[in-house]
Amino acid sequence: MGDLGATCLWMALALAGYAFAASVAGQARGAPALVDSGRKACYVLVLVLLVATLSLVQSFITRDFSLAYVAAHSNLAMPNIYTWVAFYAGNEGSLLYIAFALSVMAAVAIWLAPAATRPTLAWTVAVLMFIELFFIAVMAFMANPFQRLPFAVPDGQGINPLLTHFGMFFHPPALMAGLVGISIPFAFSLGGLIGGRAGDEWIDAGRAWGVGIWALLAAGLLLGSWWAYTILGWGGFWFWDPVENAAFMPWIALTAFVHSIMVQKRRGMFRMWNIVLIDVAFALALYGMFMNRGGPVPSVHSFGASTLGWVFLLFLAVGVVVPLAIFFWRYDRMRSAQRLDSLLSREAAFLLNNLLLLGVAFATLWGTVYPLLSRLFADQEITVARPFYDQVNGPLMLALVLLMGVGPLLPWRRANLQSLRRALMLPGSVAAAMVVVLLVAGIRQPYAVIGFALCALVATGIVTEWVRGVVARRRSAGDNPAIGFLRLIAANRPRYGGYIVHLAVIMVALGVVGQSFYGVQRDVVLAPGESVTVRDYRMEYVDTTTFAFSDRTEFRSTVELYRDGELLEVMQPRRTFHPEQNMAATRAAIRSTPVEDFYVVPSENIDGGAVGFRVLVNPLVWWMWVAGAVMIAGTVVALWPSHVPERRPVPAPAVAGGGAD
Amino acid sequence: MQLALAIAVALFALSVVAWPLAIGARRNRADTAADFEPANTNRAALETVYEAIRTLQVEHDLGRITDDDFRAQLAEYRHAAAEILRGLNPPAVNNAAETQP
Repeated sequence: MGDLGATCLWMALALAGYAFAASVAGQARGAPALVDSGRKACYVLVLVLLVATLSLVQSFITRDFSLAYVAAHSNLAMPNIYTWVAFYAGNEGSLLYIAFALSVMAAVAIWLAPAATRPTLAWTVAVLMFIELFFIAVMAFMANPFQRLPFAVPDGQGINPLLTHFGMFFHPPALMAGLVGISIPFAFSLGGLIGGRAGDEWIDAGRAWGVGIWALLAAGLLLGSWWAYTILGWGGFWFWDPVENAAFMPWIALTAFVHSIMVQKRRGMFRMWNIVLIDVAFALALYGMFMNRGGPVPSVHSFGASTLGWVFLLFLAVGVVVPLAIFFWRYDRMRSAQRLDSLLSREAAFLLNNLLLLGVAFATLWGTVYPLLSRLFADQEITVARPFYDQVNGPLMLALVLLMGVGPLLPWRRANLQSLRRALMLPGSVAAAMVVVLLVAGIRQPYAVIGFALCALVATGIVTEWVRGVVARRRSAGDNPAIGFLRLIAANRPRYGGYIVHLAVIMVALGVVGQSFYGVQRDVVLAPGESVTVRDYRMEYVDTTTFAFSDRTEFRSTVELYRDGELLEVMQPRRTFHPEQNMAATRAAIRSTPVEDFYVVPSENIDGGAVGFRVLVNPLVWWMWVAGAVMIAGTVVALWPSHVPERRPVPAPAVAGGGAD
Repeated sequence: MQLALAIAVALFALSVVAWPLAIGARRNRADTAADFEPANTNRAALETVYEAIRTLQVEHDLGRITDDDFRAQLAEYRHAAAEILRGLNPPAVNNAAETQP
């Protein structure tokens, strides 16, 4: 099916080019037929790229080793289930995936575009198709997944063993789709600007896509952390690796955007700021793609053999300079309708939240590019590692969690200190009680105590908010608590969906604080029958069995886990060697509970049956993985359309002149 | 087989893209005229104001804002809603008066 795929690739190139040109020419010359034709080309592009994608997948299924890409990323021994993973395991296939994902999202975005964006939709289509054109052109001319070898090889090189993990079915696609998906809200904002509509027309589309893409990236990041935790064998989930950072930074910028856009929607403020934020997020997404496609910093995630770095660097430059130029061109049309009434208001809290988030993004960017700068200007490479990020980002993150507790308790426009004090009374008391409990329990690490206390503050604030809302509904509408709770959420889905997401963030924070400050690690060598004690666990090593497969040799160790003399679980961590790739891989065995994880991974098999084990006890990590599902649920609630807005009678103001209408 | 599939995809793509050009600009202009209707923007703005009023009520119910602030802000929102409604429904022409001698 390689020839069909290659033909479709060229067709896609022509279609994207046509859609771009027709949209620009049609809009500039006032030719609706041409604009409509360009839009239709966008829709057809989905079909053409789908056929190209299926052709490549089919080539993997049939192991068509005449295609260089298939030969490089699969072999006869690869189970068919990993075909989907092999499809995007390399540079060429992942570019095809990105182009296809963008075409689908672009088509849906254009199809569902709100009426307010229609006058400038042709510009939005042009922006999206320009981005699409770039990816397809890179594929067609520089990284063609359908390129044939001079002759078909009898067997391929096989898939990277690190990718043979359940998380790989979702982590790379979610992240790649998320990064390129930032193009959608970006295109709505830029299309509006080019068309001279720099007001609030784009914000509904921008918000909906911003929140959706944010959730996709969050899910991708969490799945990546889970993958690293279970397969990389070092017992952690985040390494501050340059390419991890490259996905983290746009997510952080997008987090700022999805908060800030609410202010524009509600108050007509922050118009320029929101455009700047989505431009920054887009630029950081392009930077991320540059980093793992031939970027200058090596990483476990990057496509090592890629030489496309300069092309992506060039596109990054275009992605920064062009929106900036258009921003200044339309500067005078972006003035906000309102001004900040008070520093003690929801808007001000959002602004502070934005500044803190951008602080995290730029500190991370600085840490990521510092080795390059030091090599360039100081003639020596100085690597920035976890202590830097802990010291700089740690306090910023704590401040963000604090703001997450206080911000939602502030009303729009202006608050008074008395009502804020009243609203904070219960959450603050619970946080203070938490500090006392932690100190009594012997937990003295300042960052951990502050972190846990802030988590308590936020969680209590959210629960209190729900309870008060339900009580208020009971008073005004006579709803019973269950119905009242559901109606409360339905009445303002973005707000309460956001609270659910905040709860998920708190769960992640619990895992990070627990593992960072109270995780225990032991590296031991055990002979059969020997045991090691870590915290109140005793792990006894039983034996190791060797299994020979066609593509790997597997050493499966059996250990028994005891606590207080009682057998909790028989665990089987394993280590595999893949001769084709000359590569070893591990798979940890984890006993996970809400309180803590017991984690064991074999690091080395020694003669005589002895095995080197890394054993860890990681408190509260379980909550991080559960947070993913809660985050998705919150996002669904926040994005759920409300076709029939709830109407409540508006009481007439009691003062004279209040009823302006 | 692959060639036939490629030709089928190409023909389908070409026909979909060329269709708007073939049926001419007039129908497209009619199709998109509603998109340029400023009323669409006004309706969205009106919904935003209604939402702001609902939130204001919740915040007042929860004791977050004082009665004075509530009244003042509510008056502003109602005024804004009235302005938008005036834009959506311009004063109607009195047909009855016009037809009378």
